[in-house]
Amino acid sequence: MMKRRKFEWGYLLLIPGIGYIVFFVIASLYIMVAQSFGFYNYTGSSEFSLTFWQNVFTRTFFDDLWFSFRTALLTALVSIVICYPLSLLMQKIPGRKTFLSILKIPMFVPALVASFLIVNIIDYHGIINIVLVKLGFIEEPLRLRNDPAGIGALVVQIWKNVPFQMIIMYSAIEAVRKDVKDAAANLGANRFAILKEIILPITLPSALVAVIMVFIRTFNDFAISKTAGPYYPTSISNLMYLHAYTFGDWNTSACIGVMMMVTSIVFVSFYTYISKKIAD
Amino acid sequence: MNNYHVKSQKKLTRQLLKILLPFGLLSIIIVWIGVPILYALLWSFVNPEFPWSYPDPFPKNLSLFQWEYVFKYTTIVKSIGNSFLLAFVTTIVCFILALPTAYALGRRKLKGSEFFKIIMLLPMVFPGMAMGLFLGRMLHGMGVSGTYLGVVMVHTLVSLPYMLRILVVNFESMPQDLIDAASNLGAGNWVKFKEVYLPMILPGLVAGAMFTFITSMEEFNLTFIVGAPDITTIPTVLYSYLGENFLRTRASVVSLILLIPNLILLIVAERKIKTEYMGAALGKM
Repeated sequence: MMKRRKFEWGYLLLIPGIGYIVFFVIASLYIMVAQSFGFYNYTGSSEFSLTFWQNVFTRTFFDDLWFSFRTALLTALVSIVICYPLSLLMQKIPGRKTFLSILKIPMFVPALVASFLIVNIIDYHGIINIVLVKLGFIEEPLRLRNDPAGIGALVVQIWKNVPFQMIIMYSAIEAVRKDVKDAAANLGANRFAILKEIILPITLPSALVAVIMVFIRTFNDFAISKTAGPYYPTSISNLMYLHAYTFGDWNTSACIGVMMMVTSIVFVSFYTYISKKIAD
Repeated sequence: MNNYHVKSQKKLTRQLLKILLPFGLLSIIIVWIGVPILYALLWSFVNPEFPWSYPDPFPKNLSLFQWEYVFKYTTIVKSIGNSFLLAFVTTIVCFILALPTAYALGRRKLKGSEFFKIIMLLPMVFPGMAMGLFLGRMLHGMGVSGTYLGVVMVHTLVSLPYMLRILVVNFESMPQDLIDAASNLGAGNWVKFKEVYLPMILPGLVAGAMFTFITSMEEFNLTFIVGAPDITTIPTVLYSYLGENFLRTRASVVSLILLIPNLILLIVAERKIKTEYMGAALGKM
C-alpha cells in the first residue's frame, strides 16, 4: 500500500518538466495540423477544408524541400567525414584538451553570427576570393554567398556542425576500452584492423546519433539559409515563414510544416533502419 | 643492417609527425575559427569615410564610428537588456520546473523513465520555425504574444531539455549511501534537501544554467515570431541587419556583442563543468 502511493507521487513530479514540454509540443502540433485543414484562422471563417492540401505541392515547395534536405544531408555527411579522422588523430596528440576547447567555439556561436562570420570570409571581397585571385587561380572573385547552388549555406553549416560532431565522436572513440584494443593487438591485429574491426563498429551508434542530430538541426534551419543561402530555392522553413507572414496564407504554411515533420521522421527512421542493418 | 636502417628511419618519421601534427592542427584550427572572428572584428572598426572594398585585403582606416553609432542611435542597449533579462528569468524558471522532474527521473526507479528521457528532447527536434509559427498562434490566442511572459514561455520550452538532461545525470550520479547516512542520522526531508541534495545539485545547476542561458541568449526563430514587434533581443536586431537590408559594419558590431558573453561562458564552462554534463547537454543518447 505504502509503496503504491510513493509510486504515483513520483509520476506527479514529472509534470513540471515533462508536462510543460509535452503540453506545448502537442499544442503546436495540434494547431499546425488543425490549421492545415482550415481551422484556427486569424481572420475570416474557420472551417474544414482540403483545398490547402490540394494546392501545397507546387514546384516551389518541392524545390525548397529538396534544398533543405540536400543541405542537411550533405552537412551531416561531410561533417562526419571531416571529424571522424580528426577525432582519431586527436586521441594521441599532446595538448588535445586545449585543442578540443578551442574547437568548441563554433558550437557556442549563435547560428546568425556563424552565418555572418563565414559570409564575411567567402564574400566577393572576402579573404578566400582575394587569396585565390592573388594566387592566380581565378580572375574574378567567385560568388559564394547567396549562390544558386547553396555552397555558402553549406559552408556555414559545416563550420558550425563539425565541432558539435567532433565532441560526440571524440568522446565515443576515447571511451573504447583500452583492454579490448590491447586484446586485439595481442591477437596480432595491426592498427588498421583494430580500427576497422573494433573502433569503427563500437563507435557506429555514436556516429549515427551525430549524423541524425546534425541532419535535423540543419533541415530545420531558417536563419543560416536565409542569410547565406540562395534566393531561390530557399529553405523549407523560409517557405513556411513566407506563406504565413508575406502571403498571409497560414493554412498553406501549416501544410508545409506538417510535410516538414513527415520528411524528417521518414528520413530519420529510414536512416536508423539502414544503419542498424549495416551494424548487424 | 638494412632492416635496422629502415626501422630507425620509420621511427624518425613518426617522431617528426608527432611534433608536426599538433602544429599543423593548431594552424588549421586558428584559420578555421580565428580568421572569421578577426574579420568580423576588422569590419566593426571600418571607418565609413574610407570604405573597405574589393581589392584591399585590409581596411584602410579604422575608427570606433560603428560602435558609437550602434550604441547611440539603435535600440541595441534595450535589446541587450532584454536578452540578459530573458535569459536570466528563463534559467530560473527552467531550474524550478526541471528540479522535481529530474529528481523523479534520476533517483526514483520509475517505470518508463527511458521513454520520458526521449520525450524531453522533443523541443530540440521540433522545427523551430514551425513551433514559432503555430505555438505563436496559440500564444496569440492567449493574449501573451508580444509580451515578456510569452517570450519567457517559449524560451523556457527550448531551454528546458538542456537543464533537464543535465540535472538527471546529476541526480543519477549522486551516491546513495550519503543520502542513506543522512536518513539514518534522522534528517527530515527538508534537512536532507538542504544539506545533502542541494550541495550535490550545485555542479549540475551551474552546468544546466549555462546551457539554458546560452540557448535563451541565442534563440532566434521563436523570439522573432512571438516577441514581435515589441520585444527585441540581440539576435532579432542582428537579423534586421543581416536579412533584407544587409549592413555589414553594423551587423559585425552586433555579432560581436552577441558573441562575447557566449565566449566568456565557454571559458567558464571549460574550467568548471564536468565532461559528463557537457555530454548530457550535447545529446549523448
